[in-house]
Amino acid sequence: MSTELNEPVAHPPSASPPGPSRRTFIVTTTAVGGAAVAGGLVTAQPPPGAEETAAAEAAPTSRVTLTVNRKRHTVTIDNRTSLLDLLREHLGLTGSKKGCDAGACGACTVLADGHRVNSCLTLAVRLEGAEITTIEGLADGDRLHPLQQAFIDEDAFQCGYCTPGQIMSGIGCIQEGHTGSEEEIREWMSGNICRCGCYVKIVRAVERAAGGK
Amino acid sequence: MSPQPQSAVGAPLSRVDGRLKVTGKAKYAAEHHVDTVVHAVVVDSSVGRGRITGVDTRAALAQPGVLKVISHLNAPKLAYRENGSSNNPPGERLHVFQDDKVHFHGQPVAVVLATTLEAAQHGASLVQVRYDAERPSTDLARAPAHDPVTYARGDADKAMRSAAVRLEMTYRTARTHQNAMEPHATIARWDGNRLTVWDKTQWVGGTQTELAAVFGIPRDAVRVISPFVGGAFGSGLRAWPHVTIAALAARVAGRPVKLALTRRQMYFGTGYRPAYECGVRLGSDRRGRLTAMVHDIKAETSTYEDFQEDVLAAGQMLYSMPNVRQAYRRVPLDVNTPLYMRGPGFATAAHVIESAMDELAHHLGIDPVELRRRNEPAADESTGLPFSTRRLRECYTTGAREFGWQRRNPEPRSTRDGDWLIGTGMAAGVYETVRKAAKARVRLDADGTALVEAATSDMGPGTYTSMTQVAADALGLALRNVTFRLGDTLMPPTPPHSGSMTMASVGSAVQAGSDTVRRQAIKLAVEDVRSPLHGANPGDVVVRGGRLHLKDNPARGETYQRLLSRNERTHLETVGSFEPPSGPERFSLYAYGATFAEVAVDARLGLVRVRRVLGVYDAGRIISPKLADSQALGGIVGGIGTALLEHTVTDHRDGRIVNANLADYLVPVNADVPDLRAIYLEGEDREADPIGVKGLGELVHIGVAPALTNAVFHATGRRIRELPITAEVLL
Amino acid sequence: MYPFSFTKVSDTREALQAGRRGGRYVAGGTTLVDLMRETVERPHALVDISALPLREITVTERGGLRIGALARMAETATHPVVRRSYPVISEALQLGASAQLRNMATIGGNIMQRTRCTYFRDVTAACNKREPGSGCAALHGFNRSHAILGTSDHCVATHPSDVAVAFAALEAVVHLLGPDGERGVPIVEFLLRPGDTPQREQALRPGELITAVEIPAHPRPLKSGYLKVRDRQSYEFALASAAIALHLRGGVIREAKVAAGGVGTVPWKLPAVEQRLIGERPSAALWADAAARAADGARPLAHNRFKVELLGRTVERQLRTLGGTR
Repeated sequence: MSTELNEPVAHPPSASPPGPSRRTFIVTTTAVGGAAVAGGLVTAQPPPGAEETAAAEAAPTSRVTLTVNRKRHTVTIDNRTSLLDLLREHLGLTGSKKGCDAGACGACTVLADGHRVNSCLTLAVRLEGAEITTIEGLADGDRLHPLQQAFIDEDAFQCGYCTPGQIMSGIGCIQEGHTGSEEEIREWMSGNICRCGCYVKIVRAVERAAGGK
Repeated sequence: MSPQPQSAVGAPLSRVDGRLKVTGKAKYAAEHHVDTVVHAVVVDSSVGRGRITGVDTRAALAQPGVLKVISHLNAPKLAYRENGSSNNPPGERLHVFQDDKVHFHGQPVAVVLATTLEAAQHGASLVQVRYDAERPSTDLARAPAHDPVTYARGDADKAMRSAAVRLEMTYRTARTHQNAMEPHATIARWDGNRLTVWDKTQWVGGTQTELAAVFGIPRDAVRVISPFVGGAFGSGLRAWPHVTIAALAARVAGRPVKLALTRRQMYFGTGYRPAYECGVRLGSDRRGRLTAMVHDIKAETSTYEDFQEDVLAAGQMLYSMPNVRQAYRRVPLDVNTPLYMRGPGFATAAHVIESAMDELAHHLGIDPVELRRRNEPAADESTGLPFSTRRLRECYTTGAREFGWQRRNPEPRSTRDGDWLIGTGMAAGVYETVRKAAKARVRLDADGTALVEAATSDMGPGTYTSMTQVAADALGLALRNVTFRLGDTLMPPTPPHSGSMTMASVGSAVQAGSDTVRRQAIKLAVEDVRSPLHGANPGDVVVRGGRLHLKDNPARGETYQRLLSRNERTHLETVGSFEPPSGPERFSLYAYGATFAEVAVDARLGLVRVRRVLGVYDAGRIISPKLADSQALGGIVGGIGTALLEHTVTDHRDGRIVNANLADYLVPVNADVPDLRAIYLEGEDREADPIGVKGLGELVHIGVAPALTNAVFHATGRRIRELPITAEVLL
Repeated sequence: MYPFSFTKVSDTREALQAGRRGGRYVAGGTTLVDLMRETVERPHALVDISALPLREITVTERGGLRIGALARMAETATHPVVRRSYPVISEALQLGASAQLRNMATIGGNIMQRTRCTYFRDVTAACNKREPGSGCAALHGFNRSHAILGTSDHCVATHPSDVAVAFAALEAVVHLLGPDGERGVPIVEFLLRPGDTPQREQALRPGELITAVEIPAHPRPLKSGYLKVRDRQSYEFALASAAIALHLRGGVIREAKVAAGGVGTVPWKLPAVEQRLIGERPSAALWADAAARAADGARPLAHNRFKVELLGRTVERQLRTLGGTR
């Protein structure tokens, strides 16, 4: 048997209004409610060659101002960029993990305006004015967040890849008040897959942090 | 055993890399910052077998940001030399972009490079590949097999004919994927003819030799870096095609390239545990003494490589019986090549053997634990060698006591709790103790801290922590003053981080190197007239908390710092080695375990819920109890997945994997896992290796699935011989 | 992901204008962004409607409940009125997706969810829903999770929503706002069976926007609940589910509202089961007899035959849970 198979014909992108024409991804960083941390212009990507200049001009981009871990960023981004890719590829915050890029594992969990969400399914372009907290924003200097400490004390991880998402989700779980029993924690932490299988200890860590033990 | 006091080893310490992991600072493969890096996205074949007849890249190249599209039409020819130092199975590995042949659905057929990830992803979706497609052969049940690997002792067929009790069953286990949370990723950078890659791998040395062989460059022209691995469970034991693609693309582009597989691509871009079909025949006397066992085993492999794993050993040595015959056939299919997955070979073998033993116990009306006791061998009957240590009986005794096994009503379907049928089951587990040559560099600095390095890996078990513990005790330093580094081919070589061999192999090298450095320091002290230890017998000197002193007179001594600075030594350094004993083994070396499980089955709705699981292990010495406990519970969770959820589904019409994502390929979530418990028997194995360990990462996964399925039988009275057990078979 | 332009609108008028120009509304985005990444969805313009004032949950004058289209799944599930008066909605919501997704996804988006059929989600497979006329790979492929009810020769994909099943049971009305004004459509008419146009999934006119889902008033007391059967204990779509509400007076069932999920191309209302229950007194025999009608008309496929039996048992179990008697 022999048949000719094609990939489906790709739909060309329809004409879309061009976004602000910026040569490359640009971040400006200012401190919120405190001393200026880093002013001016920071290029998160290496200086572009000629090819990127041509490229970026045609890409549909938008300008967004959002706060990440108490730092305000104004970014010009490809509309297609997810919050997760913004964090990992542009802001250098690789603590939020890409496990499935489809909302099916929870490794990318961050807090958006105080609620736990999957950053892989969140388009960054939609986050004008949003306040994002990632794993990098939890510790107070050298002092870990109680849930971070509980994860270490209970050994609630092995490879560590799902851990930032588990911790961010655990914070959400505690804030939402779903720590009444082990069973309740299990259910409300089920949006975070741990392939190393540390669930028993994740439950203990969330319980411990919730109880302030 | 070390003359040093052991304060770190055996203590329930937290992970030394814990802080990095809970703050998001641990860097995994795709997270290393490399200047001027561009993004690569792989285009996969959408047919299961055939030839590529055309690649239209125009739409992709017209996209802003897209730099290059590489396929077999324009890729440079690669050397693809043989690589003896790899986990490549017999056969010839896939040569990426070297010809127009498609061997399996999802095979990489092109790669798109772009300045942004978004552009690369979009570009990849616009590459149009035309194929001359054929119908692939992907069904294990229908395809012809290679010649078998066989084993025989006694005359199993004759013994079967005369056995008082004969059972014959066929068990099937599904193809399963490691599905570690971190997708495989590689960053590649060329500096002239030197290649540096940041890779997700369990063996930087293996990736190094493979890239050198593929590109035809010297091994030392390749550097592989991998400080953190987000789980792997075996999938990181080969350099897969995407690793070559990243390096190839970087060479073509003249810029560093970052390539991360998507979750979907993990299902055909890396290995998996093959599907198995296992025919078993058991013969015994009326008291349950086994007389014969026959195994006819079939497993998936690819058409281009003959993947094999050890599914035979357990059948030859776990129980005493005079007659065994085994045949293991691999069936070449139009699929990508399988690879090891946690408890390779033994997990499948244990499922088959331990399910069959449960069937025999039920058939004879003998308690399953008692049946196993009756078949305990006095020595390894496959080799005649004595066991180094084998405490399986103790695992049964401890397990039965702690689990409350004696309260069990042996009658299946005898216990109810509302809509739930309750059942308990148990199974034995066994895994070989593997150790291979390893080296570790140990440097003691004049400030009283030590740096220990080896090119090993830590995919989660806690290599960083356990090696630090071994070094700290052997050097007599506080844990915080020892740093262990790993994951770089510039460090001393180690075997793959697999087969539960890391602790035995690398741990022994770390201990050897640390012992040497400590002895150097002691020698320096006893020969130094200015030292309080001058003239002492070196054998009487120990080191504790960084201070050398007489074992019987702690007041007489001095610190490393003082000793080294007075002698104007910046550091003491050595490379410690471990070599397994040469010549034939004198002992049969295995780790053992017993798993006890309780399940609840809602037979009306086809639901199985795990209520509790207990594992008891004879794994030799436990270096890091807190971490070992986590490993055991994780191994049990993996077994819950194998037994009840996991199944990679292939559409045989075109070879497509239809559930290549984490919403359709189900792994256990938190709600699936009850409280679990693990017990390690105290002790050590002096024959296995200098530090007395037998390995535990594989063992803890082996026997979990059969314990659960045996419990399902006990709950329902229904024997289900195909994994995973899902609603449709229970209804 | 295909490139797209992006606009955020602040009032419905602006939204409708953008919609009329062919813009695609996005609320929670959990389905749309996922499918855009798989290139199943290729909108050229996204219109972010999350700032529209459509988030309120209110009791209607007639004693029903109006849930704004932009109310999040999480906040709807925990809303005091929903919890107290419509446990079936609350339970269906909390048994869906994960806590994170429920914080993102909206009620309007939930009922607009597209199928989880893996051939639909894989752009290299034949799928009439994605590419009309290309064929249905699921019909003779791996179809364990697919529908046994409401299928056609062109499509057998299951509607994935849980809460839409509760809405179907409770005979909810979907409120729409379009260029021609407002209208309400019963949810069972709003969600379309595939027939020979599986690409048409909702009875939406161009540019129309969901503004709310309204639950009509039901006689009180109303006992309701949702049972979801699945392989994994959480974070998975249903193999079969039952949304049931019962109103008993004087020991007799006066009203019965029953719908099933995981088995139909749309949330599947079960009028035959309802009819069998009304006027009867609860008994184990009644539950069994009523549930036996649940899979009437089922057309099972090679891998989902078990759903025929499972559906009946799921309905029976949930009837017993709500109505008592063993």
